[in-house]
Amino acid sequence: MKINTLLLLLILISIRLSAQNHVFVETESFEDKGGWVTDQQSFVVMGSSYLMAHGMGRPVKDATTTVRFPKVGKYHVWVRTKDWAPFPKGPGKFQVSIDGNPIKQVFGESGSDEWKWYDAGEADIKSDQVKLAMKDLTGFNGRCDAILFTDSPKFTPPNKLEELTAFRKKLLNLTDTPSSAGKFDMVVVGGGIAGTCAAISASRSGLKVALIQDRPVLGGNNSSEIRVHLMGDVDKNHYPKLGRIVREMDNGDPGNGNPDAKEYGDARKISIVKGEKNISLFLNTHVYKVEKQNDIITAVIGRNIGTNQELRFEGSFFTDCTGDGTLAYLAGAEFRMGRESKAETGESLAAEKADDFTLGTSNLWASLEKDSISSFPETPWALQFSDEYHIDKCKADWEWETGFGNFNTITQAEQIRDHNLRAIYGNWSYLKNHKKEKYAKSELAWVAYIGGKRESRRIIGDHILNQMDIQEGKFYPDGSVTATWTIDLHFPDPKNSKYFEGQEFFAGTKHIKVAPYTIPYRCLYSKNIQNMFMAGRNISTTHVAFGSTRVMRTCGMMGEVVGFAASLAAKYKTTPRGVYEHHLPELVAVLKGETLAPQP
Amino acid sequence: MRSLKVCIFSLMCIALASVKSYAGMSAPDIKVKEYFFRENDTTSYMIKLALDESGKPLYFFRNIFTPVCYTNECKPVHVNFYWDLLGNYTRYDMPEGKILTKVDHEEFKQEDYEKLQDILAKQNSIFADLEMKDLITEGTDNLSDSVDAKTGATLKTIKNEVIDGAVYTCFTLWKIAYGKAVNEMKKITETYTNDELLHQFLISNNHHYQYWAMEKVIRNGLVKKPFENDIEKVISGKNIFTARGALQQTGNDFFSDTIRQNWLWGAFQAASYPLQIAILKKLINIPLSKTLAEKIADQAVKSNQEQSRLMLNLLGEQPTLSLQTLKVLAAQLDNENTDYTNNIYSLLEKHKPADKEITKSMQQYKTSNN
Repeated sequence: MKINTLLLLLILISIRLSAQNHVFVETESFEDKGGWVTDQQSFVVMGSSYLMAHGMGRPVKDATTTVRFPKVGKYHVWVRTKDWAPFPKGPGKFQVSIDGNPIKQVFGESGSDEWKWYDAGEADIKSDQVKLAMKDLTGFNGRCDAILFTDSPKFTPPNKLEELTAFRKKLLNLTDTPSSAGKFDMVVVGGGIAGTCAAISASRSGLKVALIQDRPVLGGNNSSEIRVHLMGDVDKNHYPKLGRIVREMDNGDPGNGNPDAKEYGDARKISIVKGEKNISLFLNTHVYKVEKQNDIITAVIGRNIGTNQELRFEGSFFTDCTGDGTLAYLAGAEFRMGRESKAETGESLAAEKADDFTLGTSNLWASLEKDSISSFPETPWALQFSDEYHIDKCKADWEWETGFGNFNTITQAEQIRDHNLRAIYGNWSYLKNHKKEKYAKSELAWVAYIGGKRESRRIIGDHILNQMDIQEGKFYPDGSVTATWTIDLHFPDPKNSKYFEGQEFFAGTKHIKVAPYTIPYRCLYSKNIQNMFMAGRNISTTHVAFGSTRVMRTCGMMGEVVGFAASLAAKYKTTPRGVYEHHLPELVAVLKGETLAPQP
Repeated sequence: MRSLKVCIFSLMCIALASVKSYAGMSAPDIKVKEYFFRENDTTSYMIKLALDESGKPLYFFRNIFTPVCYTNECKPVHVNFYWDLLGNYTRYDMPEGKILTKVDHEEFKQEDYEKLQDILAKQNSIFADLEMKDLITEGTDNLSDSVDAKTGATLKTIKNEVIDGAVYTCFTLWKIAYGKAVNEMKKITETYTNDELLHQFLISNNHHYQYWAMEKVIRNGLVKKPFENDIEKVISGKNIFTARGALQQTGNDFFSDTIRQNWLWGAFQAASYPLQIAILKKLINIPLSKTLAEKIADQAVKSNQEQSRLMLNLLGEQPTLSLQTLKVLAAQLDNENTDYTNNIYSLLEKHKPADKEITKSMQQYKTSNN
C-alpha cells in the first residue's frame, strides 16, 4: 500500500514537472552582445561560457536578445550570477529588463562570490516574443551566466555542477550524438601559436586537418586578446627548415601589452590559416569531451562558446595544443602539474619538495595619454595601495602575474583573472586619484580579460626533458626543435610579497642563460595515448625545463615538427611512437629539408 | 655625549651656520650643520643637516661634486641631493649655472632632467646589484650586450631605466643617492631622537618615519604611554600598510579596555576592507567588551560572508555573551541568508540562553528549518 502511494506521488510529481514551462537563456547566446564579452575560461568548472561587462570602469552597451515563450502569462525569473569582488561588495552591478521594463533588483553586488541562481521575482509575459536586455551599471566586469523563466513558482533551478550541467543539457536540447564536423587525418585542439603552426605544418604535409580554437581569434597568448610578444630565437636552429611557419605567424615585436590591438595581427593569422586548403578552422569551439577506444582517441566533442551548438570531430591523430593539456586530461593521458623535487629529477634548480607551484597568469593592460583630464573612481573593492606601495607605471609588462601555487591555473582561472583585475584597477585608481600630476590625462586604453597563462599541465611523453638535457646541451638522435630562451622561472616579487602576502600579483625572475639546445621528438607525443601528439607549453618536460621551452616561437616550432611527424605516421599507418621507433631517419630527413633519393 | 656618538660614527661635526640660500633653499630660517664623513681612504665629503630655527632637524643634503669618467675623459658633475632624516633620497636640484651633459657634451633636455629624478627615486633600480663594468661596454657609454643576462631584465626594460648617452652619469649618481652616507644619516638622526621627534615622525605622512618611530615606541607589543594617541592615528590613517603594521605590532593589551575598543570600532567603520579584516583577525584573542560584542552582533548580518564568519567566530570565542548581545543575535534569526542564520543559531545554542524571548526565537527558527 505504501509503495503504491509513493508510486502515485511520483507520477503526480512527474506530471507536474512535465507541465512546467522553462525558458532558458544562455547569455553568451544573446543576439546582440552590445559591449559585453564572452568568457569561456571557466568552462571546466561551470560547464558554460558567460557574458561579462568589461568596460574598464565605463558602462558598456546593453546586451539584448529576443526570447520566445510557449505561452503568455506569469513567469518566475532567475538570474545566474555572482559578486566577483565581494570586498565587501563588488562593483559588477547590472540590471535585467524585459521589453524595456527593468527588474528592480540590481545583480552582482550580493557579497558572495559563488555562482548561483538569484531569485529575480515574477514577470508578466504579455507576448510570445519579448526583448530581454542586460544593462551594465558600472563597466566593472559584472557578469551573467544565464537567465531562466519558469511558470512554476516553486521551482528552484539547480546550483550543483552535475545537476546544473544536466539541466543545461536538457534545456539546450543537446544530445549524446552531436552533428559531425567531419573525419580528419589530424585534429588539432588549441589555436595558439603551437596549434596553428601544427595545423599548417600538417596541412602542408598533405593531411586533412581540423583546427579547433576556443576563442574568436588565433594566436593564444600572442593574440590581441592577451598581447604577449613572441620570444625564443628561430635563427639558431639545428634544422634551419624549422621556424618557417613561425615566421609567417610573426607580426613583428610590439612588446608586451601594446595598446594597439592591430600590432598582434589577428586577422593576418586567420587569413594564413584560411588560405590552407587542407585546414578546416573551427573558432569559438571549446573541446570538453573525448571519445576513446582503449588508449586511442577516436573523436572529440566541441561546444560553440556562443551558440552552444555541439560538433563531433573524428580523427586519426589528435594534437593537444591547449596549453592546459585539456585533451590529455580528458583522454586519460599521464600528466604532471607543479614542481618536481630535487630528489626526483636531480635538477639543481628543482624545488626541495614537490609541490603545486606553477608560474602565474598575466592580464596585461595599457593606458594612453589623452588631451584632456579624466577621472577614474575610487575602487574600495580592489586591492588597496598607498604612497608607500603602488606600481608607478602607465602600462603592464610580464611582471603583472597572479597564481604562484596559491591558485590553480585551470580550475581557478576566473579567480586568478579577477585578482589581476583587482590589482590593475586598484593600482590605476590610486595613480589617477593620488598622482594626478602624472596621470590626470591618462586613460586605460586596454585591459585583458582573457588570462595569459604560463604554466599548466605537462603531458608525459616518452622522454621528459630536464635541466641537465638543457644545460649539458645533450643532442639526442631525435633532437628536433632548437630552443634558446633562458630557464626563466618566475616567482612572486619579494616586495610585492611583503605587501600582499599570499595575494601576490607581481613577479620577479632570474634568467639562467642556456646555449641553444634541441628538444627530443619524444617530448612531443603522449606516453600512454597512442595517437596523441602535443606541442606548446604542455609538452613533456620537468617544471625547470619548461621554464625554457615555454616561449612561443619555440612552441610554434614544436607544432611544425608535430605536423611533419603526423604526416609520416599517416603515411606508414603507425603511431607517433612508431615514427620514432621505425622512421626516425625519415623524420630527420624531413627536418633537414632533404629531398628523397631518386625513386625507382 | 652627542659629540662622542658622532665620533663613533666616524663623522665630525664641522660647523653650524645660518644660511640665506643654501643648496637651492631660500628659507631664511634654515640652519645647517655639517658632518664630515670619510667613506673610504679616497672619498670623504660633508653631509649637511638642515634644521629649523629651533634646532629641529628637517632633512639632509649634499652639494655633490663628482667626476664621471669614460675611457680617457672625466667630466665634473655638480648637483645637490636631498634625503629625508632617515637617508631616503627625496630629490635633486642643480646648483646655479651648472648643467648635466651627455657623452657627446650635449646638455640634458628638460625630459632628461625629469627622467633622472625618476631614475634616482627608484630604490629597486637595476643599478642596485650591478657594477659599472656589468652595465656598459668598457670605454663607452653604451649598454653592454650582456647586461640583460646580468640583470634578468630585457635590454628594452633596461633602456627605460637609463638615459641614453648618460648611462654612466645615471649609475654614478644613483650609487651616491643610495650609498654609504645613508647609514650615517640614520645615525645622525638617532642623536636627535626625543619624544618630540618621535611624535612628529608618527604623525607624519612619511611611512619610513612612521615605521622607524613605531619600532622605538612599541616594545614587545607595549605602546609607550605618551604615544598611544599617535599609534591610534597611524591605525586610522590613510596608509593601509602602516595601519596594518601598527595593528600587528601592538599587543592585545592595547585593545583590552572599553574606551579603546569603542575607538577601534569607529576606526573599523571607516577602514578599508582589508584593514577591517585585519582588525577582526586581531580581535580574535582579545576579550570583547559588552558594548563591542553587541555592536559586532548587530553588524554580523549586515556584512559580507567573510566578515560575517569572522564576526560570529569572534563572538563564539567569548566565554560569555551579555543578554543584550544574545538578544541582538536572536533577532537576526529571521534573516533570509541561511548561511548567516545557521551560524547564528549554532552560536546561540552554544551559549544556552535562558531568556524566554530568545529561546522562543530559536524554537521558531528550528521548526521552520526542519
